[in-house]
Amino acid sequence: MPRSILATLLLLGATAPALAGDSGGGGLNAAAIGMFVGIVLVTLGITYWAARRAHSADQFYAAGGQISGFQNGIALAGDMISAGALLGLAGLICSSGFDGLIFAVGYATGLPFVVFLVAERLRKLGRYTVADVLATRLSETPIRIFTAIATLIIVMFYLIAQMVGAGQLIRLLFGLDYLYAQILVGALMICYVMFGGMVATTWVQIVKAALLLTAGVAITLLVLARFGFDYDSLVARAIAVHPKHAAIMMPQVYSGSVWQSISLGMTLMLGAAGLPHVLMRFFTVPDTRAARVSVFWAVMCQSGFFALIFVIGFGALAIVGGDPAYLDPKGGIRGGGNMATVHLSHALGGDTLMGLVSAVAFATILAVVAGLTLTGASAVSHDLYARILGRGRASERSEIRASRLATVALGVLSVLLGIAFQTQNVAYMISLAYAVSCSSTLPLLILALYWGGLTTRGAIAGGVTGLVGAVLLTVLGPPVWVKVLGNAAPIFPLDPPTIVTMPLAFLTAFVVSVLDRRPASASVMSPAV
Amino acid sequence: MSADRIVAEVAKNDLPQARLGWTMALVQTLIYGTFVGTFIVSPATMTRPLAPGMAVTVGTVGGLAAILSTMVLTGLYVLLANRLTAR
Repeated sequence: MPRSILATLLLLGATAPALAGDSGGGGLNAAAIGMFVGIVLVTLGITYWAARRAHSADQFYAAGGQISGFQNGIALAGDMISAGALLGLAGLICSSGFDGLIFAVGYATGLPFVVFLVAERLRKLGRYTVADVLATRLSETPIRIFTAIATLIIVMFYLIAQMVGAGQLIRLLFGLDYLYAQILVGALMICYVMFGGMVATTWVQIVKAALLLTAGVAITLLVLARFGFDYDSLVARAIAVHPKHAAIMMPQVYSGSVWQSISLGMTLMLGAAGLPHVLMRFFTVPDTRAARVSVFWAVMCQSGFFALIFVIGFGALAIVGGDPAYLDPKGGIRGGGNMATVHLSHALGGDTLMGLVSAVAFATILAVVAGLTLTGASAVSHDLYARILGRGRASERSEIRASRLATVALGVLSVLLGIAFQTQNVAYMISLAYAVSCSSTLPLLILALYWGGLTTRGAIAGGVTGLVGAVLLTVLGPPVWVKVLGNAAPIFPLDPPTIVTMPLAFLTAFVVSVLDRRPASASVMSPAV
Repeated sequence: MSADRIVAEVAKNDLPQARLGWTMALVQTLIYGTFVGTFIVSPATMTRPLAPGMAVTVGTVGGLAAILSTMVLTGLYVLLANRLTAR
């Protein structure tokens, strides 16, 4: 049970198949529809404005390096707070108490690592993609191919999971059919990325983050006001409402083996640090100082939001969990755990606040899928097409055309896969994306940035070991072997497998580099562009 | 300038800063590790009420403190790193 929680939580719509046919959500509500249309219009307006600027490769991939540190910080915080964090954490607190806070703490500690170790050097060495950074000192062709493949694997799994979750959530929130929801989300994200590139993607993310923080603060204040601004009486009420009472203050996720707990802790903390769409943000600011300023604001907003979860989560349990109007006949949250925050906003501020929260959830999905699509498209057009196929001689115009084609292809593919996986359990895809991120891109990046001894062979060997290990152990582990394939017991017991695969990737890269006496062929190649 | 030299240059110029980065990362790991580790080793410590008769537990406050520590450490890092690069 606890093993599944990472996956369940990270994926906002993990409860999906059980919900089919149950429109237990808010249904149609004028405020929600109004704000939903408002979000679509505002983001399309941003795209129209950005489209007039996004003609160069620099604009498309990195917003011309013109995003200020503060703006990028807000956008970065937006990347870190997915719909799973907004809706899933409160739902998890409603169902199993303290677990939700374990995730909030874990997520919050991830970004500082990017700040301390990665952000500035990344900005200093790279231009558009993570592969640019690795290619500054490793042999270009193999490292770009590997990094592009790892990026696409992470992006696709993450994207499919988001699409499936988005379809279910939009149906619950706005009463829109799953199929139409897929097409709508797909069309909007293709539109933002294809016409507006990184400029539009960043501003969509900024709008969403501002809305999200506003809604979070509003809900927090209203919850506290209900309890006379006495946090202790709020927690006391939450404990009284939950059937397990005081037992909810002990996290269920730590009821498994010690290794399981540590592996989960590592993944929560380090998973985000290797996600390519998060790393790509650092190329949008003018210099390393701006990169540093941006992470400061990002941590303030992101950690501030995760601290609010301590109020919102217990508030959802205390207010929604104790009100039969929001519960299904079995005593669960009507419409599933992801609806807890939405119901809470309804209980506190009626249709208006509920409309705002629903619209924020929708904007969150759009912003995250747009960022993912842009990152995937960059890997295809910049790393594979322009640098490998074109050997760096492809014209900027043809590179931009390639990125637009890649955007459409990725968008259409994710809509089709979103439809294909509608009734499947896709929770493992998020586990997989995080495990691959922790075990392949992150180790390579840390070694490339801090260890002069890393050779191309070492990097490829370490990266491939981490990637294959993470995929294989996830398939043999609880998320796929038990939950998808229906076997009784997993062959590999840990979910996520990070505690095995991440050290393995580091070790392989180290040993192969040391054995590989030949120096990296970096000196004979041109600096990365 | 070759790519290797650029990397070497970058590494040499921000050596004190890299040291600062790793120190901060270590402190952050220790704080988070203490939070997770105490739950694993001694759950009773974390589920104990903050004061007799209270519903808020030690773990709740510990979690909030761990989150706040990310803000404090990042703020401190930015302050120190700005000073290092200004020199």
